[in-house]
Amino acid sequence: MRTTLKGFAQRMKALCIYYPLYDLRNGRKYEGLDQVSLGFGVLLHILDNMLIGAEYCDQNSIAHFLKGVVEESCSQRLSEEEAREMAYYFLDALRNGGRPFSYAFQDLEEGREELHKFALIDTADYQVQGKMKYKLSETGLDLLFKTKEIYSELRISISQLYLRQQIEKGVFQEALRTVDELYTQVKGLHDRLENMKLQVIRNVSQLSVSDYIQVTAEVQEQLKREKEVFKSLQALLKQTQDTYRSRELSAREEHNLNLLLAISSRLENVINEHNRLFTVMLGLGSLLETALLDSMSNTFRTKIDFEREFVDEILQENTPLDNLRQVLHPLLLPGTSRYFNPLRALDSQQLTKDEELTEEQLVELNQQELQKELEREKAIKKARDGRYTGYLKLILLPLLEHEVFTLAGILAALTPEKYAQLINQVDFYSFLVQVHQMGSLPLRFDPQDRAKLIDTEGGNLPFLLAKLLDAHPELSPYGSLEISALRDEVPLANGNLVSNYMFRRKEAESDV
Amino acid sequence: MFESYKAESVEKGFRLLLELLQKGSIGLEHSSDLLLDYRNDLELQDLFSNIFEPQARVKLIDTINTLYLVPETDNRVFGYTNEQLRQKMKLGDNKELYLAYFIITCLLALFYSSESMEEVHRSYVKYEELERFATLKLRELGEGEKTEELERELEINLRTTKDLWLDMQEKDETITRLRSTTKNRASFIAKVCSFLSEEGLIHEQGTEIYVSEKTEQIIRKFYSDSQQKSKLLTLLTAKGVEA
Repeated sequence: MRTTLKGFAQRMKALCIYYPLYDLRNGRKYEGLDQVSLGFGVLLHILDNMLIGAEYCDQNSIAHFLKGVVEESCSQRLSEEEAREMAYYFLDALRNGGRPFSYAFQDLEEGREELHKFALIDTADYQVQGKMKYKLSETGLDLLFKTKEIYSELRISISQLYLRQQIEKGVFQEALRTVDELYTQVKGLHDRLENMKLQVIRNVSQLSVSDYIQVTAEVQEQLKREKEVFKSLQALLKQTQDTYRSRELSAREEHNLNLLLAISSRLENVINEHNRLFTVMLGLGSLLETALLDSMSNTFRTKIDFEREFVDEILQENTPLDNLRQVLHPLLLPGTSRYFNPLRALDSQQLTKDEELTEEQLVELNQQELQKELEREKAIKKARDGRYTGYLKLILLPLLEHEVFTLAGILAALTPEKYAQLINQVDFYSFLVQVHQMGSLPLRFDPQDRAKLIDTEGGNLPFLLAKLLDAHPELSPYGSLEISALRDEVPLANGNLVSNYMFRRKEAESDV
Repeated sequence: MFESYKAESVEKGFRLLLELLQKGSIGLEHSSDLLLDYRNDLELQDLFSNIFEPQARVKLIDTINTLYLVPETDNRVFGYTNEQLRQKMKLGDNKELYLAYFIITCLLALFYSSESMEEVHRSYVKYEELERFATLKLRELGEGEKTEELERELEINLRTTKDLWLDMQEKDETITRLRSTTKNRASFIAKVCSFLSEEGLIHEQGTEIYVSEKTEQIIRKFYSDSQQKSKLLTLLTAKGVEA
């Protein structure tokens, strides 16, 4: 029996997440309609908006969707207002009036009562006094993907498999859709890691360290596997494109080639997003450390029950006005009193005028905003370029003295200050991943190639490299620097582990 | 505690304090230099925890992304008087102010009951639910003798607050702008909420109320701190204003 019931609670939880949808059947409001299907449709619509390129949806967009669906499939016409009301009804029902859904069940394996709490829809985004935007929670995504019979851990791998088959069979339109889904899945993993972060921030003890290590190890492993597959998919795409490029194309084939290009470019996005996960993982490690420290300094934190401890207490004790004010004080912004300053009497004054901005002024305002934004971005880019150039120097300059050297060796040679600074710069790790991906760094450029390298927003490593080589002609006798990962890992002072890399300089091939 | 502080640290600390007093918080996105200075400089942290915080009667709450400054309960300098708060909330008298405080506490109760400290917690509360909750709680009141007795001692008391609330209509369909009055419960809640929005404590979408990250952090790190909490609970049971 034990083996029969293994993982029972997990399975029950997977089952529970469908209850809210079935509960829609009991709603009185839209009795003539299939409310379960409509609710499910709403979830799918939210998912659709999470796919690549689309914006998260708001109530209006859901209303619009429902209006269309009800008209087409249920032959009922809804007014705008009715559609909005219906959207609100489903949003509210699928969010359980703001509370998480909670279902109790008997865990037959452990012989105890379990309570499963979850939400299907999360708030994606809000603007002050603006519209709420919605996205599916991890559970919501789970629900939808489970209806496609895919396990969550395997989701990305299976989509990758689909994609391969679709490309091979030449059904490119569907392949495009799969790439978009892949994007959502990678994003989903991102959310899962972010959630883990939140969990860590809120209560570190709930997520014990060993659990954490296990989860991160699993994710790491999975990420590595997926990365390999992505590489092979890229190769497959390139190969397929090449077969098209090598001959004259009919209109249909032309169309297919365009689709293939679209798939490639979107896959590129997915891969970038996927690579970003490696950085997130590293961030998570240092976050856990901060959070652990944080929790140690806050061992005196207790639970708080505002209803029992505050509201009921006020009713019981008839708390005086002033005390009540003091109790709420910590929530308020610090109040600073303003005083009359005679010296400022001659300052220029602000006169209020009711004046609508003209179109031109608005444009100008926008441009100013844009300008500011640009400047900010420039500053950020400059700082990042500076750091990356530093990293490049770090791995290039040792080759003047050694033919072969390792990351561990480089780190050991740093001064303690430099070492501490370096390991806390998160992009150092993504830099390492990037150069490892490149396999080797060229140490001299063909003048023609050199001219083609331009500075861009991100991914300008080759450009920075070329600039650095210009400044260090002593490197030019060498052809390239090869980077390969060693089997061992380097433990860092901040608890992170990085793969040890080996760097090997290669002499330039003869110039003649 | 440090024996002495470097002039440079004091200057930085003072700049940080002023900035915090002005804005209430600083985030990684906008004032990252100041924030990083604070986090990396033990002397600066020491200066705050041993000198600035107790002297200014404020508390710094450092969260992963933001540093908040929280005035302590008895802060006279950076806190507000009842009168100032009446003006900020655009309320007529202290009866209404008491009611507003009570509504805020009720709102927090809906979000933070003991189990909601878990990971999945309420995402929003609707006006109607807040109204029902407050009404229920105030209706419960009044049967006991204790209130009658207390009532005589104090000018503003729960009984008057209760009457004020229960005498209001639930909502007034004739009003187009909810916030233009305080004469019905929905409008009253709307008014309190717009104050809370201005303070950055909540976000509103129609009649749904969402708590902000700031509230979340202050509740979890300040109100839940056992020392702070017991201070707050003493205030609730105290019969007069603290000296």
